[in-house]
Amino acid sequence: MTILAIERTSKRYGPVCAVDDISLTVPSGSRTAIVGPSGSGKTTLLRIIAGFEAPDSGSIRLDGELLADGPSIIPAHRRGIGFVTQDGSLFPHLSVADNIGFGLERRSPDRHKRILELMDTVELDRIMLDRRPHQLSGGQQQRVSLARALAREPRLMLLDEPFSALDTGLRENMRKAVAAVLKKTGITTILVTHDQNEALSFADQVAVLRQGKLVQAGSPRELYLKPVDPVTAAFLGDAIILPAELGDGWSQSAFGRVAADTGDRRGAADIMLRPEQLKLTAVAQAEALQNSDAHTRYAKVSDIEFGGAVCNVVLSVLGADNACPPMQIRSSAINLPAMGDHVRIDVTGKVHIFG
Amino acid sequence: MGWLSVRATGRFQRILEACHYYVGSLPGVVVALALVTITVRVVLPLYQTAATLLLAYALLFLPRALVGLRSSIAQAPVELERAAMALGRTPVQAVSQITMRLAAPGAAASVALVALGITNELTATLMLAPNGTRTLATEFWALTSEIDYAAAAPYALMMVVLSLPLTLLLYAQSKRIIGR
Ligand SMILES: Nc1ncnc2c1ncn2[C@@H]1O[C@H](COP(=O)(O)OP(=O)(O)OP(=O)(O)O)[C@@H](O)[C@H]1O
Ligand SMILES: [Mg+2]
Repeated sequence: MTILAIERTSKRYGPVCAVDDISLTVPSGSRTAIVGPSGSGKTTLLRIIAGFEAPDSGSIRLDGELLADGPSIIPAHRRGIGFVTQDGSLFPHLSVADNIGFGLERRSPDRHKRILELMDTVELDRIMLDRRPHQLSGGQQQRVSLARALAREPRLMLLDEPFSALDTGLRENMRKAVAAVLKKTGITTILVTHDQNEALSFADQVAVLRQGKLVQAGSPRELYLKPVDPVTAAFLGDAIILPAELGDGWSQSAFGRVAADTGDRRGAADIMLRPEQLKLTAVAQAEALQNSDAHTRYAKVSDIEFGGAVCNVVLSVLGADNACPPMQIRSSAINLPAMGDHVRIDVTGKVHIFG
Repeated sequence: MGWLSVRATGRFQRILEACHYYVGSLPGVVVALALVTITVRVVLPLYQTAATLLLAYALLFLPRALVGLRSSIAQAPVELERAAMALGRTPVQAVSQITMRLAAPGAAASVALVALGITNELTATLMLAPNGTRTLATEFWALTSEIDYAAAAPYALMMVVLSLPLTLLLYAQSKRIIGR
């Protein structure tokens, strides 16, 4: 069931169209990630949803209730939407307890009990209770901020790059912890990030924004394997993009003949495959030279950059036309061919064809 | 006014603010003379009344207060106001409970600065004050001009003593800001 429906929403700042005709629906209890390069309008969209900005046009509905209809909006304090920012936005003059309790009824008898519960939920040590925000680490501040937002039991939780100020190890931990908390509480969540890994692992639905426009929305799997265009493909992970000739259910390219969902399409097209689809097998030079044809490709390893877990292998494909540039492929350090080796290239799965 | 100049950066607000700073940079004599001219020519009953004097003080010292207030409001980020609103506070509550609360020490400091300024203000006071009004500065000035330095000294001392707690307050305040 849809809880949030954004319909044809636009917002301009002078000449800049920060949010350009975006429509998006968010299923109840789901996790949506919004990704996009800097300045693509992610924060602006979140602010419109939260009620800090009014859209110029379009509508926002939460649980069927009209929150914004063009510039006339229901103000933020009556929306029941939680918001966590990049730096946590904790109130510096209040203790951790008072920050968490800020949204709770002041005179409620079980206020303190509730604050302690929330601290447990976000796994914050109770000795922090009386500390001030500046006495906490970045990760702890984010936990307080999350607890503070959870205290109001929001219908929707908005997270604007909540982990980007943390260092890599902590970030991953926090991401998992936050995902677990949100799953437990069952609150519908929208996460803004420009870390594709974070988006793909966190969300049920990923929405890609570029220059204020919604480029694509779908499940992480769908986006990763079937991106709408090369930019999106590259944004969501390493991608090998190359020209190909299409036939009935196959594509012919520098990687030989590989299965593809061609439908009715024939002729030239750009195709994409992910590096993990490629398998390199070392073979004798004679075999490579003899057997190389349009269906099965062999290549010579022209360079190797050793990088630990992932290494860069540069291949020049045998028998491909001269216009075909050397291919850069990531490979695991295990079974890494040596420079000058000949390899057979096997592709698992299908290639993706760009429209 | 301070809040407006930080949060709503419209053209009108900027012009208003610029006027403020401009007047604030004028020497006291100029403002005082201007007010003398206006009161004498246009509204004679107001000449040398407390009201005019207060107006002069306002013109001269409000900009100073504004600078302090402005920077302390700018120190309280909008995100905090927004956070408060997302936690169920109305915009007015958010400003009063968060922004004004955070700006309070800075505001107090500006008030202290202004109080210091007024204590020692001489020219405008001399020109505009109702006859018989005596401030520490005017007394001091009157006595020194009679070359009665011994009698003037207590007033000078009082000015210094009065300024002292305020200066200490300002000092403590600035240390706290740095310490954060
Ligand atoms: N208050 C504002 N006034 C004017 N322009 C703005 C304002 N807020 C955002 N913009 C513009 O709108 C565009 C989108 O900004 P937004 O902050 O939504 O980007 P973002 O995707 O969140 O970027 P980032 O990843 O850097 O946070 C940018 O071009 C920005 O300059
Ligand atoms: Mg942003």
